[in-house]
Amino acid sequence: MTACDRRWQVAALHDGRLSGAERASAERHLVACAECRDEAAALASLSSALRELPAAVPDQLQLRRYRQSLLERADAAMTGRHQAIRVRRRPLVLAAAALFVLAGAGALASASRTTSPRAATTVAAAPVPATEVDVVASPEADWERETLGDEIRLTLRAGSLDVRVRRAAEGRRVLVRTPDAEIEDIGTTFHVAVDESRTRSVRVREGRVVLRRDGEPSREIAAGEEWARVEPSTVAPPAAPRTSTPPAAVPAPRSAAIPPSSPTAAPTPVASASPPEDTAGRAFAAAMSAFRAGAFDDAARQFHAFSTANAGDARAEDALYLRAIAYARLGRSGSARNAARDYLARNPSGFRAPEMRTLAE
Amino acid sequence: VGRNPRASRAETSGPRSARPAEPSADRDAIARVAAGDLAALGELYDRHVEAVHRFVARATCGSADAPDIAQDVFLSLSSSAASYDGRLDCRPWLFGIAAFHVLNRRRAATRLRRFLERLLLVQDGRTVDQVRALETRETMGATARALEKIAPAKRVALLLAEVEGLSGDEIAVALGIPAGTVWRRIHEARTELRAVLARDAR
Repeated sequence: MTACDRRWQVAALHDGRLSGAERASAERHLVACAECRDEAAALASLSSALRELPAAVPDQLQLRRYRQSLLERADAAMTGRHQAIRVRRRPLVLAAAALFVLAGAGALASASRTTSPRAATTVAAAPVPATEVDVVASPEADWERETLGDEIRLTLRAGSLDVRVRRAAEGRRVLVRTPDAEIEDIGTTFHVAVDESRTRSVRVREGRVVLRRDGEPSREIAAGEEWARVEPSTVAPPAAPRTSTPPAAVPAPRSAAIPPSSPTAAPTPVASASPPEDTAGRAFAAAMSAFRAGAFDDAARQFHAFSTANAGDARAEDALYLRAIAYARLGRSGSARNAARDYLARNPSGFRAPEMRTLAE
Repeated sequence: VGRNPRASRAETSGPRSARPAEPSADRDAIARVAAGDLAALGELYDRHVEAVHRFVARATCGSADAPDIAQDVFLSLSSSAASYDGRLDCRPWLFGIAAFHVLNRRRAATRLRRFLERLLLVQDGRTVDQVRALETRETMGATARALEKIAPAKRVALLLAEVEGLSGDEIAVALGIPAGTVWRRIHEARTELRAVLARDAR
């Protein structure tokens, strides 16, 4: 049946594998040879049958959902965290996170263990490959240390701890749990006090922490701020050396004076009034690289300028989001809060909205 | 008949001409994804999601897993973008990643789900798999039914060449195999496909 010895050439011709002279020769042969013509026709019809194969694509709504889920999962994978506040440490920052758990009421605390231990945790997240944690415990402290995967967890039931965390780069999380709260350190130095099986106060010296108390939204506490439990008036006030800050339920945003509308002074690379795609792209890229370089101040200004000048741009949402994150990384929680509110005002159902709501609190 | 069909296809309405006109924008986006820019991942998704879904649907013969696999392709970009070496345009590169996922989709989760379906969900004495197979059989054309019988590695190579319009060299790079192997797989796929089609037609 296969009589023609040039039949092999037909597929090569079909696939475009023949060069000039060979192709011309094969094409001439097709004119003359009926068998090879049939073969060529068979290949062509197979080819068009394949191109007509049904290939269902999910509808647009479904594709949107996939897109959202994709970006959420990729985001979690990139930052390595699933919690709302992501503040990536700059590499090679030697961060000393000193965590003092003032058990001013240390003795008192161990005495009153009868209080049902409402689970609460203090998470100090200190990602670093070489994470060193030095812990100095008060004599009466009831605590333990575990390493769980990439997390170093300090569980403090009573007493006080002085914790120092040294980080080299992205590494282990350091998580401090108290009976009723969880504190995630996104800064460097802070202090936690526990009494009566409850977190009494959290004071931050440098950087920031996130405090998650049971049944309450998480809150961020920045450098110089303190959170303290509001005591029912009947309970004896803790005797601890609570220093300057009053026991406010919410950390006083001392460092938060800059409203989001002010960074107009920002020099931005946006040149013309109606920036062409290229200019907008460059402006966004410039802001992005400032962000990546850790120049969060510049990045925040540039993202602001971008989102103002390109309000209709698809990246405006990202710009608003990244601006809030940049402020968060600077420790300017007030600005971060305002920026997060800006984001929410324009993207009430944006996919960063849950995260921004946490930051906006 | 005398013209090279691939050349004419590429010039007219072939899949190649449907590619975005700015490969540099794609390359830029891949670099930004590698640097951790989520917005760039969104850009790549918007430009290529339908093409990837279509390719995966064909390459898996319309399997119910196709959307999951397509999603995995984009999810894996945040890590594979770093190893993008620029030898391929974005679309052939994406198809290479998609092919990898198609060929390696015997993932534990899928297997477990299949197992549970077979175990638990039985309609009229038939397992879900059998029912689904019957349903798809009725709606699938002869080509799709025949294609399902071809080894996946050959099927993928054939589809990349015939449907997606990739060159032999592009397929070789995308699949990480020698060009000679690409052509052998395509040849065998065609031979087997035609044999199955001829048998079924009888």
